[in-house]
Amino acid sequence: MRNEDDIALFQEEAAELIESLEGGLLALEQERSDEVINSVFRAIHTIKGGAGLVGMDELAYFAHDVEHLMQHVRDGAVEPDDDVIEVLLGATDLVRMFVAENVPDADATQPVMRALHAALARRGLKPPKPLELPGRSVAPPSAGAQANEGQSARDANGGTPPVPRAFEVPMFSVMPPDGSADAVRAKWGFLFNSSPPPAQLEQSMEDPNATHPASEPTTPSGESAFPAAGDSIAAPVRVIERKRAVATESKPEPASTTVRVPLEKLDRLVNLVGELVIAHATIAQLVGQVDTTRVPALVESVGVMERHCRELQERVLGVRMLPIETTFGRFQRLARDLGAACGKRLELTLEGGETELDKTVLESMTDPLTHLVRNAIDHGLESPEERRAAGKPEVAKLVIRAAQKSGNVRIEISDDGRGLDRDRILAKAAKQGLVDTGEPIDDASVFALVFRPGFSTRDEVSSLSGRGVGLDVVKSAVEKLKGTVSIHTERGVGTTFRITLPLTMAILDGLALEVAGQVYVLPLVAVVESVRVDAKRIRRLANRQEVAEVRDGLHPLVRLGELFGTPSHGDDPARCIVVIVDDGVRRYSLLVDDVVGQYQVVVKSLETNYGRVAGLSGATILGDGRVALILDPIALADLARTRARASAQAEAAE
Amino acid sequence: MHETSNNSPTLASGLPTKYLTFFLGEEEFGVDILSVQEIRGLSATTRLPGAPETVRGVINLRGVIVPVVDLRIRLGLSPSVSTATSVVIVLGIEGRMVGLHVDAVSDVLDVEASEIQPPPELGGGSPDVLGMARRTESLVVLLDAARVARVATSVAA
Repeated sequence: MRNEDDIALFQEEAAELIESLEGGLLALEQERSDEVINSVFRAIHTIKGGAGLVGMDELAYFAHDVEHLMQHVRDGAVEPDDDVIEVLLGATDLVRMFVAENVPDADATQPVMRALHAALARRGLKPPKPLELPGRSVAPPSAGAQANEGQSARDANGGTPPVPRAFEVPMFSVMPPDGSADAVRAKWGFLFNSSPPPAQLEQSMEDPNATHPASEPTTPSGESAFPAAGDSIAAPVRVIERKRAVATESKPEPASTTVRVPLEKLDRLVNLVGELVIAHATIAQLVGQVDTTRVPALVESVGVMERHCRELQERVLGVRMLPIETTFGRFQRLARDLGAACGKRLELTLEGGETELDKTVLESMTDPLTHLVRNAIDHGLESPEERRAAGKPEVAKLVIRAAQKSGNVRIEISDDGRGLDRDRILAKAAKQGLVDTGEPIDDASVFALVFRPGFSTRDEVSSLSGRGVGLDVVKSAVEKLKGTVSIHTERGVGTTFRITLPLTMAILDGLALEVAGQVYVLPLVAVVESVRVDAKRIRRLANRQEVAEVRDGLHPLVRLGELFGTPSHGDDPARCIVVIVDDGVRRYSLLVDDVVGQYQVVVKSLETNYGRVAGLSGATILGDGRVALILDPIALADLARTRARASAQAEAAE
Repeated sequence: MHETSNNSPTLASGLPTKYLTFFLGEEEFGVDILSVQEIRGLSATTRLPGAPETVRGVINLRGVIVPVVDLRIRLGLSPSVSTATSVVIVLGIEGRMVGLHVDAVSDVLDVEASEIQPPPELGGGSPDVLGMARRTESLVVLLDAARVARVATSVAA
C-alpha cells in the first residue's frame, strides 16, 4: 500500500495545502468570503483524498471529519465564527502532524474531534458518517469519529430529507417527470457524490440485490447493495466538483497547470544557462576582434543571440522564484498565538507579499524571520498597560515589509515597541568583555553587539529590552545567503530589523574591481560608492590604521592588493580608486587599482574542488573565460582586522 | 606502447598498472591513468589569495572552478615556467577535480606491480612517490595521484 515516493510527494503537496488552509482560515477570521471558504474546503478535501491514496488512513479519517464541518460552512449551514475557526485551526495543526507522520495520539485528537462535533451539534447538525476507504475491511477506528451508523449526514443541504438507499431510487428514466427539480437534483446529487459511474449505478438500481460490480468484480461489497462511499477516493472528488460547477454555473475547475520539478533539475538548468551566457560573451568578444565587414550579418546575429540568452537566463531564474507571501502566511498565525500567550495586543501587517525570492533563499529565511517576529512580540512590544502609560495606542503595530530594491530584496520587521536600550546593552557587553569601556562607541556598533554569538541580555535586560537571544543565529543565516542585517531603533518608539538579501544565490550583481591585473567582484549590495581620492585624503592614524576621507566621512582603509599579497599600484593612491563598502554593520573603504564595471555574474563555488578562502565567498567566470574571485565584504573586513592585529603584535614583539 | 605486459591484475599490491607519464624538466613522472580526467592546454590561471606556493591558482574547466597544483614546487623542484608544451592534467579523485601543471605529457605506460621498485630510502624521498619503474634507458617516478590531489584541498582552511 505504502509507496515512499508517493508519500513524499503527498507530504510536499499537503504542506502547501496546509499553508493555504491556515491562511484561508485566518483570512476568514477577518472577513467572510465564499472564495476563501471554497479554497479552504478544497484544501482539506484534497488532503483527505491524497491521504487515502497513499495509505495514510488516520489522516484520511480525520480530514474527513474536518471536511464535513467545512462543507457545512461552505453550504452556509454553519457560520464561520470565531469558535468554528478556532476549531478548524486546531484541526489544521493536527493535520500538519499527521502529514509529518508524527501521528498525534487520542489525547490530542479527541478534544479537537469533540469540538468539531460540538460545533456541528450547536447548529443541530449530525456528525459525519465514517469514511470508508477501499480495501480496508474494518470500519475506521477513526481519529475519534463517534460512528453514527445509519445516520446519513452526507446530504449537504441540511434541510432535505435523509437520502434513500440505493434500491429505493428509481432509474432516472422512470422517475416522475413532475418531481420537483430540487428533489431530482438532490437525489442525483447524492448518487454522484458517492457512487461509481452511472453504468454501474444503473445496474445496481435495476437489481436491488445485485452485488456491486466494483473495481474488483470478484469481491462483492458486502451487505449493502449500495456502493461503498468511494471505491476510489479520487473519483468522487471530481464528480462533486463537476456537479458543483454546474450547479453554480461557475467556471469548471481548470486542469492542473503546474508541474512539480525537483530542485536539482532546475539548478542544472540555471547552471547551463549561466554557461551559455558566458559562452555567448566569449563569442561576442571574438566577433569584436575579427573583421566582420565580409559577414555583416554576424554582428547582428550575435546581438540577437545575446537578447535570447538574457531572456532565457531571466526566465530560468524566474522559475525558482516564489512570492514571499508563501512564508508570510505563517506569521499571521504566529503573531496571533504568541500575542495571546504573552498578553500583548498587536496588529500584524504584511506588506509586499508579492515580492519574489529564490526558493532556496526563501526557505532559509523562514527560521530567521520567525525568530525576529517572535522576538519583536515577546520582547519588543510592551504590554497594553505599559503602552497606555506611555501614551501609545494599546494595540501595538508589527509590520513585516518586503520590497525589491535594485537586484536585492529588503525585508523589514518593524515594531512600535520600546526600542533597544543602548546603555543596558553597553553595560552588559562591557561586563562580558566584548567592548572596551574606555573607548567611545557609536550607536551602530552598540546595536551590532546584540548579534554577537556570546551576547545574551537574558538575565538582566530581558525585562527591559530583552533582545539578543539567539540573534546571532539570524545574522549567520542571513550572511550565509550573502545578505546583511541591520538594526534601526529608537527608545520608546520602536525597532526595525532590516534584512537585505540577494534575489537569488545563483546570480550576483557585482562591481568588478581590478587589483594587480586580476579581477575581483564585490557584491553590489555592499557598495555605497566608488570614488577617486586624492592621496592627501588618505591618512595614517596613530594606531597605524589608515583612513580615507570621502566627502564628510572617515572610513578605515583596506588595501586589497596588500591584503591579498598581490603587488598593486601601491603607494600611489592618486592612481587608485576607493570603494566605500557597507557590510551591514560598519563602513570601510577598499583601495583598488580600478573599477571595471558592473556585472551580473553566475556564482560558482570554490569549495567544490578546493575549499574556503578567507575574504572570498566564491568565484565566477568572466566573459573571456577567466576566473574572477567574489569578495565577501564582511569576511574581508575581518581578515583586515586580523591582519592588522597580527602585524601590530609582531611589531610590539620586536 | 613500451614494455608491453600481459595486463595481469595487481590487486595483491593494489597498485595501478597503467600510468600517464609526463615531464617535469628532464625527469619523467607517472600517475594512475584511471585518475586522469582530461588533459588541457594552459589557460589563464587566477591566483588565490592566501594560497600556498604549490597552488598556482584556479582555472575555469567548462564552468567548474578547478585548483591547479604546481607539481614542480610540490616535488621540491624549481617553479614551473609555462612553455608551448605545458599542459594541465586534470585528475578526478574522491569526487574532486584538481589540475596538475606539468611541462609536457609523454606517454601511457604499462607497469606490473612486480616491476615497481620502492622509492629509495635515502635522499629526501617525497611522500607522494609510490615507487620507481624502469624503462629502457631511464626511470619513471610513479606518483600517488590521490595524495598529490589532496594537497590542493587540504591547504584550504
